[in-house]
Amino acid sequence: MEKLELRYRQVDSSLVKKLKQMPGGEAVGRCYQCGTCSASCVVNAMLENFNPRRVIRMAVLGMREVLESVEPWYCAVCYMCTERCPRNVKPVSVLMAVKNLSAIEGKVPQAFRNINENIARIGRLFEIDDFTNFMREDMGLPPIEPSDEEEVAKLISGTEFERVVKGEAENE
Amino acid sequence: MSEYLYFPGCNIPYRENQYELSARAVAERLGIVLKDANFICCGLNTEPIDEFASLLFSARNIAVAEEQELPLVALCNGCYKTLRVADRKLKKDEALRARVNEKLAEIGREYRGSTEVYHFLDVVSSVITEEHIVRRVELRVAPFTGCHSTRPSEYVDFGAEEKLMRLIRLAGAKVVRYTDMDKCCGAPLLALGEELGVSIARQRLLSMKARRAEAAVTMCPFCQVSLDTLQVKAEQEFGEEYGIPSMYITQLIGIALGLKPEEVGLGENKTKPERLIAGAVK
Repeated sequence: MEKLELRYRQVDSSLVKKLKQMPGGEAVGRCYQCGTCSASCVVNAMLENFNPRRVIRMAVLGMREVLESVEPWYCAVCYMCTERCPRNVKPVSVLMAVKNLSAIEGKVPQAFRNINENIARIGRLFEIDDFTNFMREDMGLPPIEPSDEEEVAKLISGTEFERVVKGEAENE
Repeated sequence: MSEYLYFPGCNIPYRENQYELSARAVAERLGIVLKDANFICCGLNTEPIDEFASLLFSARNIAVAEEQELPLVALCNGCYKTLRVADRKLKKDEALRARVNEKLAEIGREYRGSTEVYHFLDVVSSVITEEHIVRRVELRVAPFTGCHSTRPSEYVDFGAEEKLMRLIRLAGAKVVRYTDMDKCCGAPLLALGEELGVSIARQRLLSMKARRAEAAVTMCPFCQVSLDTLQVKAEQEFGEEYGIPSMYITQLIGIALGLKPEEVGLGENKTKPERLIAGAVK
């Protein structure tokens, strides 16, 4: 992962407004950049280029690079920062809102797209095949019935999720 | 007798069936009835793409429990947190509930907010007493709660740490205190590449080893994959030996309740806890 740099190229003053309207992004303006989030972050401890404090700063400054970057997607969603944030910014939720905004623009890392393709089709992460059910039967467990694909299709129809995962939100 | 609708989630039936096996066996011993239903993803995976879709997935699953007038119980921390947060948000926010119900109506369901979401550890903890225990498993055990049984505390607040430690002590084991008990296991990052997940798992194992833990106990399939499956990988990759077999709390407590190792699926764990358990049972 490349390090995001603070460069005022594509400043978009509407970004922070949009973010505040997203569920989870409401409190982004309260951040005073103390860095408690990054200091609490297990991913940051392993990968210095993942820095939630910087992502939040860039978003507040209106730097659209955050929407293009894979960085917010490295959040493990462990909520340690959210517990410790002295301004109750809820960094996990802000990063979730940034990802949701990226998704609206069609910028979803392939790994996340792949994961959600099964979910859009069968409503589940993994398909439980006959072999797995046979193994479960052998263990004395009841079979996992196939999901109702028609129900899943209706449930997601017209949502942003459907548009993104089915590729209709792809830019260019 | 208490009845619950069992929520298996995506991971457990796919690759961690021993968790379900041991949970069902423990439930039976304790008189907890687990009913089955056709489930879909809890919503955890869709959240980064569309928070609203995540709520739809959660609400659909909760609505199924409501149809059967049962509380919903999850084994997976991720499922538990996602369903619990959605349930709390929808109970509080009428406008959001109306939006969700507009979509649920299209599949002939309704979220009414008439039930509760529980973690299986919480359910076991409320039922089990000394009297159920038939033998002791004398081991030094590192409890691992992971994240979503304890955070975000605004929504998730059933006291997972204390309850997990109490169950370990009830089983006759000694609780090892160490610094990483409620930290991220790293498994959620596996989608972005194995290296990061393995490195984080290694940190947790080193922290347990420093306090001379003989075994790790988990309560979530993600945490177990990290401490069990990835432990084997970390040993190969880093040329280190941790020697900390990892098992589910339902497996440990099951043994203390008198269940046989195969009845709790111990043979399915990659770190092979059978021998350790056999030597520790008193």
